[in-house]
Amino acid sequence: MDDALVRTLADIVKVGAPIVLAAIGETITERGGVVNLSLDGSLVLSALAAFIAGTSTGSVIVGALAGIGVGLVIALIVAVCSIELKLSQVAVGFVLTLLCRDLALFLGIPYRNAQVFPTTFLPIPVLKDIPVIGAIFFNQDLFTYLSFIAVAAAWWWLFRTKAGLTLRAVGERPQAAFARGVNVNAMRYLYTAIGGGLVGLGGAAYTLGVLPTWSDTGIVGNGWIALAIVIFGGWYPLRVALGVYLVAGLRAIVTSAQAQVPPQVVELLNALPWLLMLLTLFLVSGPYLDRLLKVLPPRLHPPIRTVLRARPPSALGTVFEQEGRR
Amino acid sequence: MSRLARWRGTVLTFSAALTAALALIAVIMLSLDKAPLAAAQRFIEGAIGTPSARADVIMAALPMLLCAAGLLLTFTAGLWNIGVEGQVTMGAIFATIIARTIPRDVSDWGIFAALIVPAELLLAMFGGALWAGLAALLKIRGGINEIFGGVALNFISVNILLSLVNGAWRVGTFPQTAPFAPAALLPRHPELRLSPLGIGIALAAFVAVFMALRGTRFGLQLRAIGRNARSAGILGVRVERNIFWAMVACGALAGLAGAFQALFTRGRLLPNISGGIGFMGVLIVLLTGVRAAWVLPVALFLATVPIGSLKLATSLDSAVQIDAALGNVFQGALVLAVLIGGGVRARLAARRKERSEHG
Repeated sequence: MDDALVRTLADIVKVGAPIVLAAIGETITERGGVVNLSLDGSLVLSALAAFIAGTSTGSVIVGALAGIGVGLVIALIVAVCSIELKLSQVAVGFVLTLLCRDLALFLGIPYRNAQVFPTTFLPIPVLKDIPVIGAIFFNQDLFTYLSFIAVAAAWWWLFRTKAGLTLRAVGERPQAAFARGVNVNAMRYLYTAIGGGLVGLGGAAYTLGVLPTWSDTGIVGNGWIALAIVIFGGWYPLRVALGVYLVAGLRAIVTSAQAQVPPQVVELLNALPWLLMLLTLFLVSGPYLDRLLKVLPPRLHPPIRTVLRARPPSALGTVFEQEGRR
Repeated sequence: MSRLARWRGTVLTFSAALTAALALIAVIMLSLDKAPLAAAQRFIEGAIGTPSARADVIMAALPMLLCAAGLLLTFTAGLWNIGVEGQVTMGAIFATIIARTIPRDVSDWGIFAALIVPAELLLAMFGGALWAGLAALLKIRGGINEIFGGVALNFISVNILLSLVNGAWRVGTFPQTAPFAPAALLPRHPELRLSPLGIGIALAAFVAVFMALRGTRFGLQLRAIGRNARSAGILGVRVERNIFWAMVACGALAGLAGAFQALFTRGRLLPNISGGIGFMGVLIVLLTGVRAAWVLPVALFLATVPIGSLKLATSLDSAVQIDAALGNVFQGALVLAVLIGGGVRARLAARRKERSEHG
């Protein structure tokens, strides 16, 4: 494989890291039955918090923790409004999206393109020397590795542990889970908070890793992309990661084409990821997948279904009324 | 609950939420070494102190009112038409198709000169309706939730706008069109920045939506769908068709709002032509709890925020000079506080009821 391609692939993995973190966080939250629609605003505000904390202390850890904290608090607001006050998760999430974005734009004015945070570049010895794979995956910065860990950990937790089984039960059949002695709402608080924390880490990955400076333009919109990818990924961590790299790959193609075409065409090319988002949602949620399968040979059906079937957790977005609770 | 008690509860919740949102703004301002009270005074003066300021507030409220009126239809049917923002943008783009071709001198156009603005407005409505119809089709035929379809179409509409003002429609060094000719603009009052025609159109649209929701079969069917789409369908309501037309009607009104932005507020097409007007409409409808009667006063109230904030932003006194973006923070915080306040009130009411039943 030639060097330019390897470099592009490594870049896709790096640029995709914040969206992977946010989308995995949202996957965990939604698996528990809660929709945190505030992603787009959460990402921006946690990115700003991480940047301020990171640059003022000079520590990437403190910065990341600040991002996580902000994402966690926003997620908890969604959880309290949904569980305690029985408000619409969509309404609260949407207002929080606007509020957090506007708050970040206002508070970030003095930091606009102020300085660049030194990225925490961490090539992993031995592994980085594996041909191709090493250069793509193990010659990266801290947040990229964290995104790999998040995907693997989420998959393992959801499908290989008892706690993950409980989490899925809470999102699919909360009444049944409750009957088996699970505290449904406590679980929802926990996983909404964890998911929000991952979103905050994703925000930190922007201002301390990918950008790495304070600028909202590189961030706004990606929260919505992450929310859509969770659907495209069918709430499976590995498919979610695949979806992110697909979008990041398309963006890389657009960016590389940018130099050769006039600005008005660049703007139209920038619409491509959104068209891709519509197309993929169309495939996974519309009635057309079955029709498409009819014209394809039956041998291809199982793999296509594995990649494109998506069914939301049954209790997604609903309120759980615990019986006998006053 | 009696009507009066409910009204009082609403006002109480709103006052508490307003206090909370103002407190947040005051804390932010104090942390930046600004003087909140002096700023508040300057804000009120700047927003409603002079006839020209009041005219600005009214004109700023019109596009919000149009968007909110359209969103009343979609929210009544339980639809989250987040795509309203893109529908505003498309309205502005479609109005510009005609507006940019109008010459400075139209004295020899005769009767046709009077048709320019109506044609622009109709085309803008078509553009908004087209974009909304697309979101509706994606939902009905494609199974794509209207929120995601709307968000994607919002971003795509911005890309189209930027492509146009960077390319074919660009005049001069900045990415924008040339200022439109006077004949292409909404006719305005000789002294104040006020368009009587615009006010008339926006109020007529709002009243039409109000009446449609109150007294027509369409409004009743939308309410039924909003309560429970499946039951409404079983009872013979054509759910998909009604959803489609509610979206299209909302899109047409949002397109009209976009035309107001291009043909009055800005007088040309430029990036961010919508200025978040569509999302403001969503906030207004959420703030009122989808109650049409409250939309007009709330739109007027929220329209003071950008006007007053702009006066603060351009103030020379450093104790009150603050970026206008803080106004957006206030609006978001207010709506969140109202939502939470409503939730708290409902919970307290439920607990009171329970107690009276058990004791």
